[in-house]
Amino acid sequence: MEFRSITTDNLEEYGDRLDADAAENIGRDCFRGLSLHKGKKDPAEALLVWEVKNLEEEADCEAELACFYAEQEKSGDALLAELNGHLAEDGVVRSFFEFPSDLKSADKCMKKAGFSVEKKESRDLVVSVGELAALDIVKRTAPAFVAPIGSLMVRQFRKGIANCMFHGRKGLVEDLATLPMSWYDEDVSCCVQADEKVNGFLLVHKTASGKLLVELLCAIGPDFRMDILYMMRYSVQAAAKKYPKDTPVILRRHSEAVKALTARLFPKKSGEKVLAGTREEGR
Amino acid sequence: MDTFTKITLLLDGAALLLMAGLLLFSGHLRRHKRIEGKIFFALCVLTMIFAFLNAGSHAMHYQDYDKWILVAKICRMLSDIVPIFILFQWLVFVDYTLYQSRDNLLRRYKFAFVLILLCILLLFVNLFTGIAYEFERDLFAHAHLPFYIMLAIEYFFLLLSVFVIIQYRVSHKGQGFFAGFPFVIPVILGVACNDIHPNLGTFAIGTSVGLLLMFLFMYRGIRLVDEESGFFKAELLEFLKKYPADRSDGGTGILFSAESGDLIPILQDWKPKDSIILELSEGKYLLLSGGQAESAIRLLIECVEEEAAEAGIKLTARYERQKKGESSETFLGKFV
Repeated sequence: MEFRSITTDNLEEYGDRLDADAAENIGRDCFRGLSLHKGKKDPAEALLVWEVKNLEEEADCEAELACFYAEQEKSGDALLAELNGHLAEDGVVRSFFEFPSDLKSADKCMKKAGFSVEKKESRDLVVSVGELAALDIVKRTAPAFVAPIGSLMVRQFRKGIANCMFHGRKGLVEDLATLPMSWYDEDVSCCVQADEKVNGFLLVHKTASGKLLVELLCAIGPDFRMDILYMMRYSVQAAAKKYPKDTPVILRRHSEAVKALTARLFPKKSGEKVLAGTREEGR
Repeated sequence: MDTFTKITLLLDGAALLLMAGLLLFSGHLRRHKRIEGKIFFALCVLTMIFAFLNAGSHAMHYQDYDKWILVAKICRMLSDIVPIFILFQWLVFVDYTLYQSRDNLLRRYKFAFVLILLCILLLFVNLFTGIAYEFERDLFAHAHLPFYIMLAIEYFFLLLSVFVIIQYRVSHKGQGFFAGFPFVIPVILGVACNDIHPNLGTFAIGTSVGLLLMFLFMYRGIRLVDEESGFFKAELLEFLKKYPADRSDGGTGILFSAESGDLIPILQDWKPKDSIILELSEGKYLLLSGGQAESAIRLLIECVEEEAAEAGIKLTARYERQKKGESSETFLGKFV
């Protein structure tokens, strides 16, 4: 039995076992991957990808398990036992996950590993491009000072990112400082500019499976609320032109502000039922 | 000449002297290299113009009425237009001083130009038709609806400036060097008392007292700012060292040291909003802001270093993050 780290060098070995959306994150500093193999040439019996959050910040370090696969329960148990050492190395104090509710072996393995597991509504609200385009608030044209990030030079983009980070905004992106502009959809992602500086971003990443994930929405100018509305207008209209109406858009309700916004925009919509769990790690 | 007119002439004269004295006293204001300085200078000059016109239009009523009527009318019209510009300029000054953004001014106050044009049009038409007020010796007795619309526009600009200050203090949790609130009060009083009696003019004195108080308050800060770069001078450190630790959210300091070359344009370009830069000595600049993530600090340093390298400037940078409970004196002492 051997454990291997999942890296960009061996990604292809995992094939369909490794979720495409998780796989594309391998190589980023904040993502880790681990797999269990019977022998050197055997395919993975179990694998896990997780994201470490607040690694270099004063806030508590957390780990979010992003992808889990186990052929059998005992493979999953062994892998989760091995995970503990990796979490301790990074100083993780709390780990959590959200998996599809029917994910094979996940419920039993996670419970045995000490997670408190429950079925609950997902934090992700999935809407379609068509549903977003149908909202009244996005129908008017955005003003000229809202521009796609594709129109920015790399220098301007980085300056805008530094500006946002200095205001404590990083959205869903732990490595916002190092991700290149090309990570985001450069036509749909946009920014607001004032005095030749970028004062806000709406950054959208197109995942490997074709979903649009809003990774950052922030504005730091004096009229930040209006700037956010303008950016939403721009991005929705751009997405409606570029993608089919049924393209899924993931709105991750990771903060109270986003929860309030999505509740206003889609009061009747709710997230799917998922298997969720948390665990406090030994400090 | 009635008592109120005499008082008005005295008050307008006092306003003229105050503004003239302020401009003579402050070389900084006369040079007005920074945008806030230019707006403030324009405010002082407009107040003087208004005081002169207002005094003139009141005084001319007591001259040979038939000979001076047209001049008095024109003075009165101009002295009604100037306050609108003054109050709008005041609003612009408050907004720019707080937010330091020209684009923000254009976006927020585009509508103001329409209001100002409307007022000018009304007053110009009034010169020939008397639709806003009828021009009699008793100037206020026959004011009509358009006059009150213009008055409402003036109050609107004034109250909007108060709103901008409140909005800033709420969003910045009461921090910042600008506390313009108390200085709006003389201006508000000057506008309000203007309506006590038709021959009483307090707008000029209210505005000039407000501007003077504003200047005296800002003078401490003005002396600490380098007129060319807009960066603070090293003397500010002594003031910041007295900042109590328990009021602080934690601080971040990044010290940039350039052996040669001009780092100022690069730092002006990369300076994040709501941070400040002090020039400690030639080539040494300290950027201070609230508590920041390591990744944000490193990104900024990396970007500044890259730009400096492109410009052929040899640069070193180091940073410190204020620990919880650490005094400002200890924290800032690490950079000196």
